[in-house]
Amino acid sequence: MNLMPIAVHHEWGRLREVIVGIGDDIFMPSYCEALSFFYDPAQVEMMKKYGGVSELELNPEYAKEAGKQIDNLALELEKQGVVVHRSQRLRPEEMKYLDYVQKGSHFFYARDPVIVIGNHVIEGAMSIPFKVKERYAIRPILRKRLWGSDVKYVSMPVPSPAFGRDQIYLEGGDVLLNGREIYVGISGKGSSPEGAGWLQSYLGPGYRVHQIKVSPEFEHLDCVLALARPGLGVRCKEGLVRELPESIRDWDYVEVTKEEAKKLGANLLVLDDRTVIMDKQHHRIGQELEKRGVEVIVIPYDQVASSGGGLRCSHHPLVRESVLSPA
Amino acid sequence: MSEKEIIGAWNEWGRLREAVLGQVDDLIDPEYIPALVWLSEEGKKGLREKAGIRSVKGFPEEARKMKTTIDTLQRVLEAHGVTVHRTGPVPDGFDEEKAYLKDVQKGNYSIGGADFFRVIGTRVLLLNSFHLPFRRSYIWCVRRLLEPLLENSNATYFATPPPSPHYTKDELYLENGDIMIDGHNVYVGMSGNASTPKGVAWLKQLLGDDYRVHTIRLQPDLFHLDWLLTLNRPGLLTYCPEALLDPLPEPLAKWDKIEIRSDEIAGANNLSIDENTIVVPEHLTRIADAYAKKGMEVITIPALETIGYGSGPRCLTAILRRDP
Repeated sequence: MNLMPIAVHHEWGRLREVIVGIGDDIFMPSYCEALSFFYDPAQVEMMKKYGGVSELELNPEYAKEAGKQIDNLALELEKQGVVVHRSQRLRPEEMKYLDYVQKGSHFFYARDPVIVIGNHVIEGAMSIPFKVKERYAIRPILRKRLWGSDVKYVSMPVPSPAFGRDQIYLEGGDVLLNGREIYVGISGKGSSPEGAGWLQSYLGPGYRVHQIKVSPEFEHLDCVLALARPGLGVRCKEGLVRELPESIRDWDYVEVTKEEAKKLGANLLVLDDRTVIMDKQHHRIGQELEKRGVEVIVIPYDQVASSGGGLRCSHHPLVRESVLSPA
Repeated sequence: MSEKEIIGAWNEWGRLREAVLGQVDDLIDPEYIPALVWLSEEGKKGLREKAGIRSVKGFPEEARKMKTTIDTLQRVLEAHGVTVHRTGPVPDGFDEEKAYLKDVQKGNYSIGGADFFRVIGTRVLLLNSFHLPFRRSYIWCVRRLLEPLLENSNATYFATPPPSPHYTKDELYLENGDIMIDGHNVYVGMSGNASTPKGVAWLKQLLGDDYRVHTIRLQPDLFHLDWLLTLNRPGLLTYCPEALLDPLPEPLAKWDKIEIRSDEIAGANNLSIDENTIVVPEHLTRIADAYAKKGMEVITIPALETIGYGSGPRCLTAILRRDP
């Protein structure tokens, strides 16, 4: 198959090739003192009691249904003509990676462990111990696509296994692309200012990396902001601590409530600048987009979303068709 | 606006201005794993017996001598105007770093200053893509020292992708002991036991068309290039002909050469402070004399024990800044 070169410049370029997560190997995260700020008390009790236990034992209906939903997403994308790769299951040593810090796993969210900007493929730096190993689910796919191409492939420095908040963290869910304007969410739970600084230094003066302060009630920027096409977005105002950067400040936004955002209502999959895929539970938001001329394809996604990530989190674009303006 | 700090290295001999050295206190003898199948039976036996032992406790005499080596090297460098930084121990509250990958291989390597990062031009490559897992756990002690030095500098800073903990021989491994630079020519050693073709491919795509990356294939029972070949000043190299599977790459073919024998362990692992001054282990008298005959000032330091643990003067020294 002749594939197009890896390149992603905007959130809305026609999606041509993508990595989609998988529903295998879902294990409850264990409690980790360094992350005591992260989880609510009810979650902490569950983690203390069941950390490291398979969801197939704890909650088999959820595990099976979530797996079906993400498989269905992959099928829908193929139906739309997108080349789909699926995250790969880890080998035993990889599954055990950092489990002395925090047990647990799921591999739904292909968005987070890497960041593709233009032809730069960056292995990111995850702030949650049990998620660091997710890079190994994505890497075999990337490496088949890298060699012999003009891709620039680097890693960020790997976080210390002691974790803590003052490290260089950068996660795909926090990074939104608008050509040479790159937005990085800082909620205190994912990417750090040091991570955004690293990205600016790496990309150089051809890009402007803007930090966007996100409410600590949310993990990532893409939980509260989506860019559907030039001039149109979806946002949860309550999830954004300050005004948006000037380059997207005056756009038309479909507003979502905090409750909708917590169910990943702003977390869309943009197929192109006229079409999005949405979780069918977010009917109202879909209608608002349709009013603005967007075709909305709905699929069931509530079970995957209940683990904290929606449709944007579940895919990582490798090729989108759009034109990058000169620096 | 304040002036940016200058970080950079373009060859192996430009006047050395700033460097990082390691320390002995956190050195822990490694465990034998199948990736070390190339070692002699005696070597394997030694690793099986000493695995996981803190060197300062289990082997205090060797540890004391290694400390002497690194301290002496620091004094020599400082006497030549080099700013020297030393890596520290794992701080309190960071015990998870000590446990990193120890389920895969016990051990810790804290003496090899040069192992953990490489400056090529103004790029700073954090190298934690070691073939052997026990070498990957000291990286955060190096980063605590390195990253503040890079703040407000001209350097671009990034890392090699960390290898999978599932061992495969052909993973992307790239180790500084295999890398040698002369301007836009970069040489990477490949014994099969350290850097791999994927590591070389990664370096090539990173450096782009401005650089020519040459692979130097080594005998399969050897380890790093810099024990077997180093570039000491423009037009002078030291090498062990028996160790190389192929003739020297074309840009080096006509250089003046000091040849070493295979029984002169780490005989090429010498550190140029500038193009007229070189640090050589004191027990390698024949090689020291050879440099002197070429008109170089030779400074000798004791290094038998650090070489026994894998590091001669070059391996012990991470270069942050050399004059172009």
